[in-house]
Amino acid sequence: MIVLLCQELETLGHGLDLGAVARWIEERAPGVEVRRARGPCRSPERWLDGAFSGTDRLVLGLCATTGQRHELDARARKLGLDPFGLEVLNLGTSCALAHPRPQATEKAKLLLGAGLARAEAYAGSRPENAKPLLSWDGQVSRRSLLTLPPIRYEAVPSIQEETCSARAGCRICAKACPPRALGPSDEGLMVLNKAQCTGCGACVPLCPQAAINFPGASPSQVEAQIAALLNSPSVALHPRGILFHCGKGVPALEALARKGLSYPAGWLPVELPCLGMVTPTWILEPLNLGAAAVGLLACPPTECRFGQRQILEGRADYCRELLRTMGGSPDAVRILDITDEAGLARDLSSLRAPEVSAAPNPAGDVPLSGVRATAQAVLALAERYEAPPDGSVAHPHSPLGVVEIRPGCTGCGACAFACPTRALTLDRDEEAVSLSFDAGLCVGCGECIPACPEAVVRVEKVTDLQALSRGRRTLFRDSEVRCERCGAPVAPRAMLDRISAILGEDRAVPAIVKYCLTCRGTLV
Amino acid sequence: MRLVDLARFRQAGYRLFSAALLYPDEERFKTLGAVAQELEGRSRRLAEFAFFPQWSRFVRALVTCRDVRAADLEKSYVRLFVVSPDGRCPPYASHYLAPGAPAQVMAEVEAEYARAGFSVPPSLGEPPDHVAVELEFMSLLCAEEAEAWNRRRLGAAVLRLDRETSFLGHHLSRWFPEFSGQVALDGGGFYALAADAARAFVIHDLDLISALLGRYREVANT
Repeated sequence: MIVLLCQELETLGHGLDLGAVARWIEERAPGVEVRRARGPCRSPERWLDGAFSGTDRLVLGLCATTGQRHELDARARKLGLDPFGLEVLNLGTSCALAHPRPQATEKAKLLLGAGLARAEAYAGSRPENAKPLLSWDGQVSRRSLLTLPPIRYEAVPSIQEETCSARAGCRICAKACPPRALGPSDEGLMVLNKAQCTGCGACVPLCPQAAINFPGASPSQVEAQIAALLNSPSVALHPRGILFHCGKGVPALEALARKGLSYPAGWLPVELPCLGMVTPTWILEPLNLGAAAVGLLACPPTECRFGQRQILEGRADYCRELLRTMGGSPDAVRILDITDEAGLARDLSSLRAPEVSAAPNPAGDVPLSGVRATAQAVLALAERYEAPPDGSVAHPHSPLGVVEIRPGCTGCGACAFACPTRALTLDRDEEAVSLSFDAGLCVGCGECIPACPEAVVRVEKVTDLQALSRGRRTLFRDSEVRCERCGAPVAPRAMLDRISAILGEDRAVPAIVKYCLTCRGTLV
Repeated sequence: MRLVDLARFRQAGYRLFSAALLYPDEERFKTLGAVAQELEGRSRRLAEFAFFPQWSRFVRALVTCRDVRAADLEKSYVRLFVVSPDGRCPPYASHYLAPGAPAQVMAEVEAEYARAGFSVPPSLGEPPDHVAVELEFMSLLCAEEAEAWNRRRLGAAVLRLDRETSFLGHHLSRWFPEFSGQVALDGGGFYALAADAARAFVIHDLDLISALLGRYREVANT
């Protein structure tokens, strides 16, 4: 792995102590080679030459990121590097131009360390992940119609068929997709319409099976980045806050630096394709790791090209409500507006030390995805804040839910079959059939509701600390009727009662309630 | 890049993949190796495309194949595609699209070929749904498209693009990724590299020409 730093960062704005930065990287990651060069910022592609061949990962620390990205990508491809795995960091705007030299240097260490962690966590891309975008110049001339314009590639998600549970009826990603680019095929597989996909990534962190690959902004990369930003004790920069932003956030931060509007260096940027990717888990986990605050630098509702502002507000509101319930300050979660410079500087200016100390986390583990990630984040936070054990937050954006079964269940198990996370499971033993529920696995998707033929399933979007601590519990249990002839299971007693009630005096009833399907066939 | 050059390159690309996935023949591989060496020297412009990493590995493998004994390639080919003991990766579309009922798929592709005026060259010696035949058909469509661009007949070129998108979208891309994924399990052998590169090429081609078509439809509507 190679880190290439622009030497001009030494003198840009307040400047950076690049020697100290390079030493810190080399001490922290002995296998990483740090190179410094003068002037690679305007056209970094020119600097990627044969001297970089053989490396599998590359992190660029530049004054600005104004070069032609498609040329940089082409050069990377020629060197055998995957462009989606390139880490290009704007250390000018984030550090040298924004903060005094000592803080800017410490911040640069953190950002480069996090860039290295992201690069290490990069799992590669597949041809399905590259969506070509043709940069037409807007003019329709005969020449333009006969020429291929420059191509750049946008990363789009791809589905891992082996792990996706679409065949079992899961539609969580499809429902969350703003342009409706995801949908089931005739064969029941989840497929992505690449032409329709905008690459916002909103579907990615919601998949309970982690079956969506999204190179460049995969949950594992963001996990590694946040862990590196918050778990670097040798860097003297406190308190720290995580500042999620999309590509439109970069000019907003640049404007602050240009106008001399200062803000604490502890705000550490994490760029995503769209803030629609930020789930409550992604907000809560940094707080668990000791972040003083989490900022969401968002586009105004009318400007978000993915239409995700409302969802983001809902998720932030849920997190604030949860913090309030736990006895914490809701101010730890903030939505900031990219178009309001004065408001942005004001909101960023207050970054106070966290209210409670960070939970010990020697492994630096920040699970942002996986079926239990949300429950783990909530319970860890509850422990940190010593929250009341019976605390609960009912909220339309709660990422967790609680299922209730009203009287009338027959134990058919249709709800369990429809559950994409196996929060609901139907188990059979020698004597009984039982339906059990684990609140830590429930994402409140409601797929079980339409599956129930008796309409007795109810799902509430609620984060219930008691239910989360309790683990799996039985919601329904009934004796299993055995075949009077061969002893094989027939059905739960409640189901046979229900069938009898529907069929009434039908002459088939006595056989149905006594014998299994095979024996009934023989008897007939 | 002029679209006529792009179409010519795509025509050559499909033909190269088609020839590489046919039953190996020493003379053909010598020719392919020479072509690949020529292509290696002119690859600078191709690095612009996302399929370049897989493409360059394939081209390198073709160059080195000149020195590989034909018998070794033959052994790999027979093991993977002819005997295919576990039925993993037969090179026929019908195996993936309609297992056990190949006639319908073959009839569909033959109808598509007939509409484009393509008849399977006897020299290929393979059924119409064989991977090499389908790639050869794409090569023919690209050749016709290149001719249309060359004569600056936009309408005809768009018609060909439409036909290519249809064949790629409704047929080739529905089975080719699964086939190449299975071949890739073979490790880093020549056919794994060829199938991997062809998969990247096919997926990219569908995306690229769909984007081009979108542009022409947009222009036509304004």
